Amino acid sequence: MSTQYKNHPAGAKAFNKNPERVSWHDKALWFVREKRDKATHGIPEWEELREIAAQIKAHTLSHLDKYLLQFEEQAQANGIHVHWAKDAQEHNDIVLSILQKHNVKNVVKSKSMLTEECSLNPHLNQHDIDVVDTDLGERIVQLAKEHPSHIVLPAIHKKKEEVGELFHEHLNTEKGATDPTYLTRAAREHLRDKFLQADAAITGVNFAVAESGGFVVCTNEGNVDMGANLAPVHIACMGIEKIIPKVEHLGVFLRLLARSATGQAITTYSSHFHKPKGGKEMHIVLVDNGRTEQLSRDDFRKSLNCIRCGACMNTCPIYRRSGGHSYTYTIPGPIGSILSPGKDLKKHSSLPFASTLCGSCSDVCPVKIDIHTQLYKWRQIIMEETNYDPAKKLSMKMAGKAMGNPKLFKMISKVGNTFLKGPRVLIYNPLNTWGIKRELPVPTQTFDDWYKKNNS
Amino acid sequence: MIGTRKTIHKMTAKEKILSNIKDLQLPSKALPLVPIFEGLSDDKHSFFLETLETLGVEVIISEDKAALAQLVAERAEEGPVYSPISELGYTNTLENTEMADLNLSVIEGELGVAENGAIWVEGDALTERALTAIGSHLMIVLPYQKVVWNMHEAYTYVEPRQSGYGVFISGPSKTADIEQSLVKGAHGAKSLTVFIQK
Repeated sequence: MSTQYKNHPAGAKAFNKNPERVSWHDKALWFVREKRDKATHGIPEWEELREIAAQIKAHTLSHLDKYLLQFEEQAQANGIHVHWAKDAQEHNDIVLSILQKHNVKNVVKSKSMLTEECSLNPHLNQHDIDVVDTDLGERIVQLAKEHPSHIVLPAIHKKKEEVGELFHEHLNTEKGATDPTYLTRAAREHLRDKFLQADAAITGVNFAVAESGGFVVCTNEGNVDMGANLAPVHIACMGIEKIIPKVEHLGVFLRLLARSATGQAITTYSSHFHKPKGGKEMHIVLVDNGRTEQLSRDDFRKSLNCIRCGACMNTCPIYRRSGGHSYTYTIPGPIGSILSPGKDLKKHSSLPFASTLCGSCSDVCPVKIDIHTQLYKWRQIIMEETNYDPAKKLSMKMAGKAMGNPKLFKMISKVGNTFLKGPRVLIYNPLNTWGIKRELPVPTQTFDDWYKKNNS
Repeated sequence: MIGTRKTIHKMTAKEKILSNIKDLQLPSKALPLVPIFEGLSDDKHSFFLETLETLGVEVIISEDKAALAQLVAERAEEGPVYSPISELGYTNTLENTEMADLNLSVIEGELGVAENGAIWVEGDALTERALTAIGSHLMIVLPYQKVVWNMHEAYTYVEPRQSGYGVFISGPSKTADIEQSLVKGAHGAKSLTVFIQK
């Protein structure tokens, strides 16, 4: 598996060893962000839609027990088997037991961040079940023995030369081939065989509708419609926050999702599953795994609004320049950094600091999660409850003292000004990270001098 | 040593999840009403056709009923065709493997959405649900009158529960997972033709 860095700075440092790649990664994601802008500006009611979506989510979360029960009842009436799992282990065991009951050996899986969160694949592999990820980006990272670095664009960190190498090794494509069309077609043929041989299909869920007892999965590739429709058993895995009350609400969320994710008006396939085809089985696993705990946190409840569009990643200046693998959680970027501390405060303590708090993530979020505010709130909790970065803690304490003492502050700012005018080696050296790859501004006067001059 | 047997009720996952939520006693938030919203131009049909074009869809508009049969017969020269539309005469039963060799599937669309070019297909009207994705090429037959503005309007007509499986399809299947280069023909159809019957 890909290297799990101990914290975000370590991962970011590793990614930044290759500045050209950083710049390429940054531009690739900014391109997606710009497509998102173009798509959203074409919709006059965009802001109203965001507000409605946020309100639907807030309403649903305030009655989540009721909607989960309604969903279960309606889904069962449709002939779907409904399972409940309180954590990752239970989820994995449920999926395994369904597969074992049907003697399943070959599974095709479409994109599901939940199954990544639960580490389902290794669990099934241990029991001699082969799982093939069928989303092209996910297949690429699976062959590379890595994890997705982005929730919508899992292989955004990979260059076509690297994909060509992988496919040459695993799919017998020509050595040195890098043409995306050629490589995609090779994957199409390779995965067609897998679809036809599969005994079961596992999919994620974008939206589950309480009133109708069905669910919607969105793809561009059509892998859900191939997998789930060909295999005799379809298992859909979802976090309990994916529930929405009514069918009409799909209109709101489907308009928001693809525009926010890739700048498309809608994904190529928006597939609605309500009943299994005669002779086949459909299962749905409802998973908590920390979600009810997050629901209990007033300051962080709204993070459960997330519809996994990835817009906050594409816009984030830190994500774009540090790469998805620098984050210690399955879901990288700003949203992952507010979801993960609630799961393991110590392990993910560096993530809320992987932000400039510029607020761009909150601005693009289609369900109006106050991401940057939550990042700031997690920082406070982490500094109080963990021993994260004692040097930072000390420097903040000292800064607090200095700012609370006008005499001290005046003195320090004078010294600082002199310092910035002094010999370059004092500022531009490896010990001062603020001086790496940029010129610091040299002020002509201290703030205090400026204030006195302009207010006398 | 025989003690009194206590009945220890171990909560199921369902009970645990529901009681976790109930115990929070979260204050109720109101459910908003969803407006239908206005269209983006005065002519939804033109908008729909333009959207299909940007999606790389081949569009054929015809008032002639025989034109469809003729078109499909021409395409049948390229390779195997299947269609659940019985008048077309390509309705042999299908095994999964035969489906995988299909060059073209011709299916019916129930409704087109102007704002995004998506067409609603009711999967259970198909002999096999996989027909929405499995053929190398896909043709959807859509009556001219059945075009709505946006997704809100679409869901006032579409009843996804009635057909056990239904899907909005907008264009040929595609991916941009290799360096953001758009490639048509990922797992589903490599091309989409929309035959609009006037």
